[in-house]
Amino acid sequence: MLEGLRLRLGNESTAQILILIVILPLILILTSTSCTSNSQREVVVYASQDQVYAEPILHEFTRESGTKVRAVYDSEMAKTVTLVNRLLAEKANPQCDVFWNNEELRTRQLAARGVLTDWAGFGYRSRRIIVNTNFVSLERAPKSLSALTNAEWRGRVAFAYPLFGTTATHFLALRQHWGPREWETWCRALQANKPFLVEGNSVVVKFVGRGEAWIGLTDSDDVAVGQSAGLPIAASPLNDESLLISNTVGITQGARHPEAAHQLFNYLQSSIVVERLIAAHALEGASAGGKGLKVNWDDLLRDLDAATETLRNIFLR
Amino acid sequence: MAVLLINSLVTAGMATLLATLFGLATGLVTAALPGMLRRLALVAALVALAMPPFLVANCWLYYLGNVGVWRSWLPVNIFTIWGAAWLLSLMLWPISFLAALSAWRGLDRAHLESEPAMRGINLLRWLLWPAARKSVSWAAVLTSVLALNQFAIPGILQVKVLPVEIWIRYSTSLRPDSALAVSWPVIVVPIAMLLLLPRMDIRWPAELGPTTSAAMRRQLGTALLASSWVVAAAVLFLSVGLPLFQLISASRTWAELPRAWNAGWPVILNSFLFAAMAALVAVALAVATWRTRIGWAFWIPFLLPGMLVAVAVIWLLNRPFLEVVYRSMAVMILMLVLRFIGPVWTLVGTAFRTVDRDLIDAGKLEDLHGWRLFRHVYWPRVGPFATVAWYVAYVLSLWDVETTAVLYPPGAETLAIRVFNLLHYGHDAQVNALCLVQLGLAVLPGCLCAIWVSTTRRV
Repeated sequence: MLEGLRLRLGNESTAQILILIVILPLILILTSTSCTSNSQREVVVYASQDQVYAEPILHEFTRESGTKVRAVYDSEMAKTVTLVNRLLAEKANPQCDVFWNNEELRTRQLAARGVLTDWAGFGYRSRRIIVNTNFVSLERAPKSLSALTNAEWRGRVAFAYPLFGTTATHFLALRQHWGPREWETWCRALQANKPFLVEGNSVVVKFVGRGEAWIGLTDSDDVAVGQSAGLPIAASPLNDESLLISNTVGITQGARHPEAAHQLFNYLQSSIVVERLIAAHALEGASAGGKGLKVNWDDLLRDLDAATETLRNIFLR
Repeated sequence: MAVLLINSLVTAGMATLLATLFGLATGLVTAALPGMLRRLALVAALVALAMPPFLVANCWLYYLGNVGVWRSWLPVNIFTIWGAAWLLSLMLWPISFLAALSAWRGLDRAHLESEPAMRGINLLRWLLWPAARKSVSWAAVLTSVLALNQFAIPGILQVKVLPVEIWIRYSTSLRPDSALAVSWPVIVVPIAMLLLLPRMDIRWPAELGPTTSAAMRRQLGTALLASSWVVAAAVLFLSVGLPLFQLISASRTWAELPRAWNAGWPVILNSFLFAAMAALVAVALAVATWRTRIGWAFWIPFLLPGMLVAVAVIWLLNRPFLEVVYRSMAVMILMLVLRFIGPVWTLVGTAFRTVDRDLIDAGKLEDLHGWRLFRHVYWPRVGPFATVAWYVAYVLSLWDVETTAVLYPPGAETLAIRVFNLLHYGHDAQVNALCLVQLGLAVLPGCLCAIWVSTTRRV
């Protein structure tokens, strides 16, 4: 009977079946090692806040509340977008309970698309002009972003691609501040001044710190990291063109652990957490006292696609 | 978009050309080396293949950036298409190298000495190039696909290429279909190349013993061998020596290594297990499906931008009745298998198709069927190439971030994801320490294999 079976199966089929018999149990074993469970004493967090800052805070929450936190972090490569797109892709069957973001625009986009139920902002960091002090003193540094188009800074300015992340939000807020026409003129002049368009704000700090560029546009927490690494950089003070960037936290629609989610939601907005983030230089402060750009977020979201298309046409051609 | 496409094609084309030349020159030299030196050259090639893109880019920016240490005596502008092609070729030359070397392993001394006048450039023209042409062509296609889809290196060097546009569409519109709409060139062009190529021949390796390598040295001649040596030495120094030197010469790298290991050993274990098991499953699937014509479709997930493939997997698996898979570690392995099965399937399938029919018939005459036929006839011939395919999938899986970062479940973080997270904070020493660990994982299978081979030979 076995001989007949072998002949009917053919030469390689036996090998194929044996291979599948080996592989299938492996997959079954792995699926049984599920990374999440439906226990109510846990909460799933998607955190775009930098892992170095977020992880200790989440551990502290677990210690105080007894609720286990299962976290997924974003990467510098993705600049928040990975988790945002994941939340959108999982909307029909949410896996995440709480979304902790280190900026505001994407949180508002998610709320507008019904992915988040409640959300709130806390603390702030800011967008700053930075200089390499070996080449440019802080006194000589541009006082306004419009000065970045001056010929003396040609080929000496670095900023992240203004199509995503906090750089994009800053550019969009400037569009609201200056008006579309003046803003577009400024963008074209900026691009014509041959800036370094780099992958992220931390790369801006490295570029300026190395002297590849003399001036940069970046986030205050990245400046703090660069200064702690001993780079010769200094940041200009807050002014009316500085964008303030809040941390935001939101509860996903259909969260599987709603009680734990609300617990974490409230914990992250507490003064203790804000102080820890300030101490770690992830935030500058709890409140900026009215400084910085005034942003109408509803209008910004409404004009988002058109403005982004303009940015794409200018900075990607 | 036309400008971006042209930039992408030019960058990928130049990178492929350079990488193929580097691979051929280094392969020539390696084929002429005695045993231990040849194995060292192989290890160096594997290290070059496993080198992370940002490490290579940062190394060259240190030397040739606007304030690079070499700029005073080498005023070369690296922020150009040429610079991007140069860096990509330094990362991807091992693919052509391995293809050429495997083809030349099929030669023996009689081939090399059959015609006394066939020496030097004539040897290359009438024997070595014809023997390696098909496999090197396939390697060039794979190289160009990898170069075409690369956006990290061109991005760092300010070269505007199509993958950047794809990423931007995905990031700004939050609509994968918008990104997919502009992805068609990076899918169509490589598929066209794959379809136009003739079927690859696998040359079964003869024992490249000391007599064959000695015959190779003699027949290549001093001029050709010397010039190949110069190119090979430069390639190995620039692609492996320089970045490794930068990595290991920083004392903080070693100071951070114990802490990085202690804090990250679950992540290190994840990386190894996911990569090893994904490569194993990919090879097993390729063995099971090599006869099917539809296997060409396996290339599509490899050619598509990774984040779009991940979104598709989320759409497929994030359903209540499939959560047991989606929320477990299996989703990482399935994702990596889907991503890299294309090249594995081609290599394994080609190896199966070129098994000598006479051997199969002889096996059947000896009453070998089913598993015994596979084990005694097919596997000795296919095994080495399945092993190579496993290793290629293993290394690609180790460094994958584009797909796994989009859907990794809590607790399934890998080294590559952690490195990219840490890049943001400027913790270069920690990043370097983790890169050292990652390189160690990349060469670990080769080292274990070498130990096993030498142990079994002694026995």
